[in-house]
Amino acid sequence: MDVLRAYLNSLFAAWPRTAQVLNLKREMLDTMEDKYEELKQDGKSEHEAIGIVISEFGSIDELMHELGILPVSDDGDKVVVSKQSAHEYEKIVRRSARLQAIGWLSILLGVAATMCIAALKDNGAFGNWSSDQAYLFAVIVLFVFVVPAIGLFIAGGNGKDKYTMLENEFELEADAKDSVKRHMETFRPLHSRLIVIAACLGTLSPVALLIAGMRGETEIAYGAAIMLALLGLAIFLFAYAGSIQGGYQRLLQLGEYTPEKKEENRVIGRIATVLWPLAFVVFFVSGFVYGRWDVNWAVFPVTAVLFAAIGGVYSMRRKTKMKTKA
Amino acid sequence: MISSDVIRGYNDTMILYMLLGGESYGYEISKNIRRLSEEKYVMKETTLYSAFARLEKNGYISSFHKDGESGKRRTYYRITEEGLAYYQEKCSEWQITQEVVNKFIKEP
Repeated sequence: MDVLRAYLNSLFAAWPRTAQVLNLKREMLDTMEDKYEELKQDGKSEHEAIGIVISEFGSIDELMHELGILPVSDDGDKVVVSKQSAHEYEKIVRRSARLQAIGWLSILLGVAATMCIAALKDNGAFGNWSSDQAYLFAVIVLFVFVVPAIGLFIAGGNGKDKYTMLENEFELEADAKDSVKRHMETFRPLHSRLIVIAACLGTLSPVALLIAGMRGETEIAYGAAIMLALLGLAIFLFAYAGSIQGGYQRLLQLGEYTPEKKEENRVIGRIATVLWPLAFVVFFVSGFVYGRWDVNWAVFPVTAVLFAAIGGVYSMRRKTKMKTKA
Repeated sequence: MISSDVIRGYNDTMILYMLLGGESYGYEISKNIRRLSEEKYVMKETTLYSAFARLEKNGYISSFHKDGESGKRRTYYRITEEGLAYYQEKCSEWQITQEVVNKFIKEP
């Protein structure tokens, strides 16, 4: 019966064409056709029979809800993420959190080591080395730390390209949502502990500088190096805990990953890709060209504050703009 | 016509009852429900198939394919042991529900 078939086609158009749904559709068409044939045998006209069959169809939303099937979105680009790929993504996030956290630690330790070498040279620990030799040594040490870190960053990003759909709007399968939520709950205590330890390390790190400053001018660089190493540990913990938490939030589209926030983060992310490399350039130029290893580390806290300020101003302006629009 | 809100909790029971006498398929079940209710209750198509999905998920019925008398290949349903136990449970639940609600019903 073409009319009934067309009717069902239009109703099922909004739903995914999985085997289960197609099966169901065929079954329902059979039942409707049986009913239609019998109504006609009972002496109903074609129109009457079709009218009765359609009026007794019911609500497709109710049926799909019962089956736990989510509709295909109107614009068609809203992807449905299955439980399996959600779990795979969790695994990748954990792996990359570990690798990238080690990467950060390595970079900070590299910078700290470079500063130590510069200070040692100034204090005459290398005997009759020329400045050029000392700088060369410092650069090599820096590279030994930074190059593996870059490798770790790249390795940590591996596998994430399969999940670019998470950058845009997507839908998480109902049972996947529950299980991801449970995992996030289990991670919560560890996350808070790591963040607290990291915050303590970060806040206490300038103490190293203060103590070194009190011991004398020549010790300041060592203090700064220790401070950077402590900051490195803090960043290691922040990056590890934050990336995993971020992975959960991204899957559940919470916090920083609600659809509105995603746009905001894209812009702030672009600012970060300019600002941080710039900070490193300033750091290295002032260090290697002007030899100011004693003060140039300050560029990092300054950049951090500046970055936070720019991000804050941007999201505030965005919020006011959205309010005036509404 | 009966409001579907009231009867919702017993759609599954009706379907299980229809399967007590042996295996059956979608349209036959819905036709028999209508006939037994003396045309007072028509189970909507989507209600019927929601119930099949739910009952099968809970293990109360099982489905299989079979060619019907007309030669059409259909999905047939059969009640399981668990389904029978569930049916009996629902029957005694209804006895009590009926007793309770009846206490508040006045003859017109």
